[in-house]
Amino acid sequence: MAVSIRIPSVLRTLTNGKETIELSAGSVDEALQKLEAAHPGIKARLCDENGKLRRFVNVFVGEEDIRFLDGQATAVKDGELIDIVPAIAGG
Amino acid sequence: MDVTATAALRLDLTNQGIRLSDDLLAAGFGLDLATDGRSGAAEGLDLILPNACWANVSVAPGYARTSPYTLISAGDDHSDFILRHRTAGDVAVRLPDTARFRHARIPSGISCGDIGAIHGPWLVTSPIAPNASLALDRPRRFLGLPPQRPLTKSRWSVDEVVACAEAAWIHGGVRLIHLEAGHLLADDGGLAELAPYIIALKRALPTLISVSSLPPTEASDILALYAAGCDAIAYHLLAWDAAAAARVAPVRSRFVSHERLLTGLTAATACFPRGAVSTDLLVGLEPLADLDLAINHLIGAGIVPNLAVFRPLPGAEDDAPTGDLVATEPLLALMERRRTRIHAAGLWHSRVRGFPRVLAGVDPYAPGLADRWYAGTRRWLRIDRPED
Repeated sequence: MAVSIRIPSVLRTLTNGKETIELSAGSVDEALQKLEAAHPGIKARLCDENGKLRRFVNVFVGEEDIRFLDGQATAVKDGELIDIVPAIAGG
Repeated sequence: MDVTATAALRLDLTNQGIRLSDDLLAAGFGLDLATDGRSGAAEGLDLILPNACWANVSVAPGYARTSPYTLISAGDDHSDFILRHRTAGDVAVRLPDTARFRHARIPSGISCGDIGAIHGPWLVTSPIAPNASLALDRPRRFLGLPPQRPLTKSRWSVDEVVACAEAAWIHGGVRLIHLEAGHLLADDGGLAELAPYIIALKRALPTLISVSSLPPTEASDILALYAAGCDAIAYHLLAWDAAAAARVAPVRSRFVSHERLLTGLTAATACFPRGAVSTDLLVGLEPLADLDLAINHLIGAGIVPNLAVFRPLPGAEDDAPTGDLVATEPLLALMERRRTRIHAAGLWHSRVRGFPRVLAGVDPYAPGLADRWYAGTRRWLRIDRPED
């Protein structure tokens, strides 16, 4: 499945400034692995040493937070957008 | 914790900042804030204190290195935390959940978090100049609200801002909207360009709207803004002493004189309801006694002075702040005198006294039907009656 991942601004130094990364994946987990393969170091910012998403990192597939779906195993459909949104915000 | 204690805590936190515990950083807490000064560390973290009081607190490591406060996770929940003081004990605090709003996309595909930010019941956005606060004077950034992501557009359309406001209404419980004009050289301070946004927002949502800008040179421009539906206006003096203001806003001071700001504030009081004209003063730029006199003078002129603490610039978190850090106790006393004078002067009634990312008051800004009715009726009496 061809999907897009939207990268938060703070991590775009790891994606050469790219806001959206296109890749092929069938689940969020697979997408994160491929993101790491293409842009080494980014997964460590998102996941702990066991590969689990850090608590304060939100991932949305379409309109839904994957915590309310199947977590990292959440399937993604062709053309879908995976949006990484930090849980906290200031101003 | 009573409201007075909450006000003291808010002030102390704003003054001293918060250190983040290692477990929070390990859990990705600092992803957007603590690890990258340029993306907002010095702007601060929004916290909800007891009594539903919002505070914006610096978590920049340099700024908060001597702070007695540490933020600690209170469990697996995203939003529950403990604020631990080195000697005074713990207070339960919460973090606002704005992720769904920031993630939400408007029909044109832009994320709402790119257009505006939520602070309590407020949506804050700079529709006509998203990066203006950067260009104007970097030290002012914390008074406004910088974009959370690098932006490619020079402005947002009316439809985009309305769509963002509707999402904030649904996902963030927003009930008030603050627009930053951010124009530097326009004679009208950019107010004419804001009017279509205000009209459309008022048509779409039962909200009250405040604006901060530079003062227009023509008084008719401020009347036109009020007629469009703006409910409160703020021009920020930053300091009572013009030289002190110029030190923190050198670019602005070259183009906009202190006198123009004061004249603009006075002109606005002739147009807006009592209590709806405000200015921000930075604590620490001039002696508190001078600030006390300035507060007196401004309130006497019908202008609400809001107090803000000067904080370090993004990317310069290890530099000393330009202003002096002011001890909490005398500042609390000053705030109380300000509150008493505002009550005595009858400036307390407006529900929108400027965007409250400042120290003044811990009111839960939440206008009801009566506030909107009053705003509409007064505007009709002031503007719309044909015989006027």
